Amino acid sequence: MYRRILLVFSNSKIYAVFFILGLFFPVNFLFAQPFGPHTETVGVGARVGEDVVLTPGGSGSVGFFNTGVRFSGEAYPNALVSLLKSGVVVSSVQANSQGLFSVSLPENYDSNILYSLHAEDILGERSLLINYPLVVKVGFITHLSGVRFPPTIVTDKSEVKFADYITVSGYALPNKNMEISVFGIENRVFSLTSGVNGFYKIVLPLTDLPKGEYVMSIKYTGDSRSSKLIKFIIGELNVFNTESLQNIPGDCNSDLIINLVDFSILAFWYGKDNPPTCVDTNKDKKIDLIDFSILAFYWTG
Amino acid sequence: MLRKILFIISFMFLLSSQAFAAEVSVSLPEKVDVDGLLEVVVNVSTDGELINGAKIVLDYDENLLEFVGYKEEGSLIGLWVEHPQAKDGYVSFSGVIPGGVVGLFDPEDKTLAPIPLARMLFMTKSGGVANFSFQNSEILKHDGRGSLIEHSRSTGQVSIVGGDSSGVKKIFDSNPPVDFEVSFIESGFFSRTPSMVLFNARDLESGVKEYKIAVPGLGWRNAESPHPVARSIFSYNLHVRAYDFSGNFSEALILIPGLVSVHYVLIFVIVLGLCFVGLRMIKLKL
Repeated sequence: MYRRILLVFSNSKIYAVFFILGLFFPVNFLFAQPFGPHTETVGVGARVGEDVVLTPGGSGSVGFFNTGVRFSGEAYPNALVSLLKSGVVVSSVQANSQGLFSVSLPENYDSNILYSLHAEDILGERSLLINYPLVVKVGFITHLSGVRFPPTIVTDKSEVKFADYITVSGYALPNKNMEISVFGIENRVFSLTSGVNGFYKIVLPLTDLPKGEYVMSIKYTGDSRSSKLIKFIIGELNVFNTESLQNIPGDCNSDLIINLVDFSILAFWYGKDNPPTCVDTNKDKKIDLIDFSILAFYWTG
Repeated sequence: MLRKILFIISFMFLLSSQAFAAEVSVSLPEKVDVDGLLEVVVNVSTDGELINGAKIVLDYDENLLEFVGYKEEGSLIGLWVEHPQAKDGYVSFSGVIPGGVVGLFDPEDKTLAPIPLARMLFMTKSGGVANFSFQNSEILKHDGRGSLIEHSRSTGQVSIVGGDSSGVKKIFDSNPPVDFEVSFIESGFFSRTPSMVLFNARDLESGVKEYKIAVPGLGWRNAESPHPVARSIFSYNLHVRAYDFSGNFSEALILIPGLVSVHYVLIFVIVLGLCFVGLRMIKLKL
């Protein structure tokens, strides 16, 4: 048996067979393929020494601490960036006119702590939550740099008449190249550039897209992190968005916020039959972990 | 020749199974003493994928171990869909991490460490080698669709050193859950979701095991958040207790608003009375 195996592999024709069969079968046993990797370049560093933090209340007084965390990166011009610790807002800062921000927080003990950030543009549109679980060590300032929020996005319609247009707008970093992706029965990608003040507005032709349900998002060209998903339909007529028709999955109380209240409403219907449509985020007529996952995606806190 | 080709095809099938880079695993010490507290961390490595949900069923040897709770501190699951609970030799739990995570940033290692989903606590009962394995695991992507990530599962084991248990139960958590608040959500006029109270206590040392609720005139009964509440004409106090796995509890109180305010009832009665008196006087004059 073993001689036969050796004979098989000593035959050069066998390698040709391997090559041909490899075209039909996924020959990836040699490589651990990444699964749609989320690449985001953030820097993590820790240093010993004191850092400066302005005391709350804007009194202008300065405090020093030698154990804590700091987050810095890019949001939108003059955006309000909030830092949350285990889901509770602990600090807020305003980004500058170029969208740059930096926020620090003193800590007291070693731990793994989940920090979250969200940014709100000057029109009040909030980004999705970005989480950074960090190891905090006494005597170190842990600095996580390179945070970048994807652009905000709003549309003028929740339903678009077949062969008509949809207007997309929001805030981003100034003069940045971006891509708007439309996913559905057919997919499209549209390229655009934000203005000098970070604002963008574009009218997208949907003339060659068939009727049906679609999802739209925006991201910076080359980035992997996308904005929240906007659902819309290409159908028989135009339905313009109002504040109450933002169609955020799971937002049953229509307050444009996804938080513990919405989670609790979902939790009430967990495992129960015939849930209300607004609770059933993926419209499969049951409430399970997938619905909670979709809610967690749109979480604003 | 045909046998050679068949061998090659079967060889390709065997080796073409993907090596999943994502993995669920357990972290635990090499050994622990009998009557000791064992902390088992359930981790997930996502290979760069953002995740926000997990459902885990973890097998353990109930002849050697007793499940005594979980630690919230250091666990990244922020919201439990199903709190950790043990039954028939396995611990199950599910929850979500709003906003999603890709890994644990450790500045000393400068790498992304596996995500510590949850920390399970066990008391050791007798000596031996206790094995941990995953009966089931689901990891959900942070993609707005709840897509599942394909992943592998690894096992773990710990040596329990010593003879049989002394039978004396050690208390490792003598602190009650952290003070918490109860919120009231009123049902919408056409909504099928009833009015409810919400409560979400945290216990740092052994986890919240259960809640009990009480209204005036009725005793304590088990409850889960959210808990539907009945509306009555007048407001009433509702008490909520959060118990940890060691039996400690903390209590919170909320006033459930009535359908009718006492003041409005009094005004209504006064106005009605005045109308009645006025009509009587008119009738007498006539």
